[in-house]
Order: sequence, then structure tokens, then C-alpha cells
Amino acid sequence: MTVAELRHACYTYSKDTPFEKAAVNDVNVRFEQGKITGIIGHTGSGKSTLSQLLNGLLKVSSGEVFVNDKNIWSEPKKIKEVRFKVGLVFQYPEYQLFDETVRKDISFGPKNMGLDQKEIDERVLESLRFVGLPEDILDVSPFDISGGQKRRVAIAGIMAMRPEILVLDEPAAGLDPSGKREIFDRLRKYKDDTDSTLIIISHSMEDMAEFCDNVVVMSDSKVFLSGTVDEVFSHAQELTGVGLMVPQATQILIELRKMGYNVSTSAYTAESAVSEIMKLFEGGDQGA
Amino acid sequence: MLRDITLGQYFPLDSPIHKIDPRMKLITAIVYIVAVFFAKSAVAYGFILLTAILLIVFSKIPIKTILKSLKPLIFIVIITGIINVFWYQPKNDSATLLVSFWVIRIYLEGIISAIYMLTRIACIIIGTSVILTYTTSPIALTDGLEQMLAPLGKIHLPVHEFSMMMTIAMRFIPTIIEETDKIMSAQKARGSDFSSGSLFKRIKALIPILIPLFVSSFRRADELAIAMECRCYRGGEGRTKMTKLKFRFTDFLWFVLVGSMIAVNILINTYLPFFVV
Repeated sequence: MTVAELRHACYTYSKDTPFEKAAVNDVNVRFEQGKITGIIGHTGSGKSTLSQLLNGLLKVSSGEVFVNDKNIWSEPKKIKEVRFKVGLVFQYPEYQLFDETVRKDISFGPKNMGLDQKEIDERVLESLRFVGLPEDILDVSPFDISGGQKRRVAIAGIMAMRPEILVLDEPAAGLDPSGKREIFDRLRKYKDDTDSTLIIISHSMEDMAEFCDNVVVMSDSKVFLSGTVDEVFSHAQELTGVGLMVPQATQILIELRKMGYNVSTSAYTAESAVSEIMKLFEGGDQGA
Repeated sequence: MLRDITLGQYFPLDSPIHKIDPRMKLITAIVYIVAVFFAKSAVAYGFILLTAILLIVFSKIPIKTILKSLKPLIFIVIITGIINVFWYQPKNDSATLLVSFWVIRIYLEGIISAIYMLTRIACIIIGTSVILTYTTSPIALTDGLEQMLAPLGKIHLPVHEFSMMMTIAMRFIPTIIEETDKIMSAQKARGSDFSSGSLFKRIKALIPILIPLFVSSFRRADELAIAMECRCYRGGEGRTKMTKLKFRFTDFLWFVLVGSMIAVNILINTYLPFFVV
């Protein structure tokens, strides 16, 4: 089932000025309910703009945006509701923290939704559990906790609005490998528990290959490729053409193939690459 | 939105005005303003308007940009114009009364003086922005300012530190505008509303923007200070310059040109005193 869709979406920055620049150009994408979709592209490919089109922070210059089969711009006055339905976590969200305590900061979104205090408290605790922070952090100032904790508090602030679709722009940027791992695991658990849809924006092929069900590759303001992870990564060589690094495992296979070994280059995880290489030994014949 | 501000923006072009020494530009900008205030007769006002247009032409700045930068000032200009028309007090009996209704008296001279006032404001804005902000990079401007004020260092005024602060402040204006944009979007994604509700509510909605902005500005200032110390910055003492400013013949020619505007205005006022109010 499709929960969100962009149809012929275009967006141009600084329209009608000498600095005019198309950031998203005739993009058609569908996002499936309950799936994790990754949007990949190098810097300036329009992926962050795309995320802001989805929750109505930016208005499409032309084309349409659908959330739950409803054109979000059919009633411009109700655009705020779309923002609660499609939660957007910006890049480096810790820079948006502002309140005196972590509790108040996480409550900011639900409060803007006009919920009563009991409901807000419940949601604060729930989202704190999802991001894996202890309850005693609630009364600490968000400026006195570590960088990784700040990031999680900021993500909890969006989760507390219980969005049906959660969009995250580089949620793991600047985190160490174990912090990255933890964020992704928590996000997956959040998605399973709440039956929501995740959209992750990233430029790391490795992370996306491991974590996503579907992948959309953006290049030069357009959708370059989209489909399941298997489908997209079977085009590994084309991806290098648009300036993206393919996963290391795939890179090794591509190099092996260049050297004349008969391997398939569609594997993108370390395990499948290993079994692909093992096949060479089992088959016994080396075509070098 | 915020990124569309053009007032005070530097336009890196190649024009004779761009090449003038920034110190000379600072001086001539002041001289230009003085010259504008010397205009009294209609011909003199025509003359200063002509110089403003010539400045635009020689600077190669697109006329559209200049008109756009004047747009936010329209409100002030209209108010000034109206006040001038209605509050004009005739100095002698020769004033021509056009409209007399209740307490309102509109004189021909009042309208003329309003037009003069508008011309003056427009010329000063165009003149200073073309001579200074549009054609001089912020770095060159503070460099020029520092060298002009250098003698004040003799009486222990921290001239270098002052100009370094100016340079840093100007350098970070676009960065902070960009940051504000980002934080505003982030808070909007959490349901903030900046465009509806009572005045009090709107002011309150600014807190979630201002606090993160302050926090990141302090953080950035800290980082910059450390980065400067890493490169052994110790203030102005004994510091040399990569590009030393030097006056050239064209700079003096430029000074004479702008300076002569005062003389021309005085001559016009004396020999062609049309519609002096």
C-alpha cells in the first residue's frame, strides 16, 4: 500500500531571480506502508529538498504530493496537520533543542498538536523508551548531555508526535559505528512497534543496503533509480557513474570481475560477497 | 524568504568603481552625501539625480537589483513625502495655495519640497550603496577602515581588533541567515507557527528559534577563536598585510570628480535658482 507519493514534483529555489536553481525536477516516487525506504544521492542532488516537500515545509512549484491518498495542498490551511502526520527529523537535529529540560523539549511537538498534559506525558515516556534513554534524563537541561544523547532527544521530540511516516535526514551523521548501529536498530524497532513507515536520507550506500527495504537514488534533481535494495544494487556500476560509492563488498566483486574472475556483482553485503567468492573456490575453475 | 535580502550585498563585477581604493570610497561616499545636501534649485536636483544614474551605469550593477533594494524603503519615502506636503509652512506670501480645505492647506511649494526630499533620499541611498556596499567587498571595506583609523592606534585605541570584529561579523551574516532558515524549518516541522495568533503568541514562537541560534553562535565563536589561535593570531601588533592599499592617480581623479559636485551645485544654485524652496 502506498502511504505517500510524489507526482511530477518540481521545486525551484529563488524562483525568478538570477540565483534560480531547480532542486527537484519532475520526481515521481511512491513510499510503501510499513517499509523502510532509503533516499540516496550525493550532496546537492535534491534529497533534502524532497524530504521537505513531503511534509509541506516547502510547497511544490508544480506537481502533486499525496499523503494517504490526499493531496496535501488541497487545503493549504491544514498543512500543519500534514506536518504532524509526516514527522521530519532534520540533519543534526540536536541544534534545534531549546527548552530548559529534556522533558519540555520533547513535549514541544505534542503541545503544538494541542494534546492534554496526560497524553503528552505518556508520549514523552514512550518516545524516550524508543530512543533508549533513561528516565532520569528528563529533568536535565538538553545542553548538559552528550552529543549522541542530544541527537536521540531530538529524534524523540519528533517521535512524540506519533507520525505515520517518519522522515530522517542523515540520522547517523557524525556518530561512531556503534552509535550508528544503535540508532538504526532503535529506528527499526520503532517502525515495527508503531507500524509506521520510515524514510531515511543518506549518502552512505553501506548503511542503506543494510537497513532499507527500498531505495530511491537521486542524481541531479531527478530520480536516477528506484526499487528494492536488490534491484538497485544490481546496477552497482551505474551508481558509480553518478558519483556514489557502492558498498565495499560490491566494489571488491567489481574489481574481481575486472580481473577476469567469474563473479556476480549484485551482492552488496559482506556475507553474500563472501559466499559469492567462495563459489569460485568450490567451482575450482579460475578464469584468470 | 530570508535569503532574498539584497540590501547591502556585494556584487563582484569588474567596473571602474569597483577598482577604486576602499579608503577613497569611504571618503567620497561622505563627500557625495554632502554634495547632495548642497542642492537647492530644481536644476541642481536634476544634476544630482543624473549623477546617481551615472553611478549606476558605471558600476554595471543591474538596475533591477537597485530598484529592488529601494523597495523596503518605499514606506519611509511615502511617509516623508506626505509629511512634507501637509506640514509645509510658507515662509512668505508668495507661496501658491493649491488646496484649502478645513485645516488642510496644500501649497505648490510644499509639493515641490516633498519631491526634493524624495530625490535626496533616493540619491543618498543609491549613491552610498553603489559607491560602498555594492562595489566593495566587506573585507576591502574593513581593510580600508582599519588603515584610515590606524593613526588612532597612537592613542591606544584597538583599531585592528575593531576592524577584525567587523570583518568577522560581516563574514557570518550569511551563515547566520542560513542557520535561522534551517532552525525555523525544524521548529515548523514540530508544529511551530510564526504567522498566526496574537502578537504575544508570535513573539513567544520566536523563543525556539532564538535560543538554538544563540547557542550555535556561541559555539561557533568558540571554535573560531580556537582556530585563530591555532594559526598563531595574537592581535594587530606586528601583523603585516598581504595586500597593501596604495592610492593611485585614478583614486584622486575620482575624489576630484565627486568633490566637484559640491562646486557644481553651488554654481547652479547661484546662477540657475529655479524653484528654490
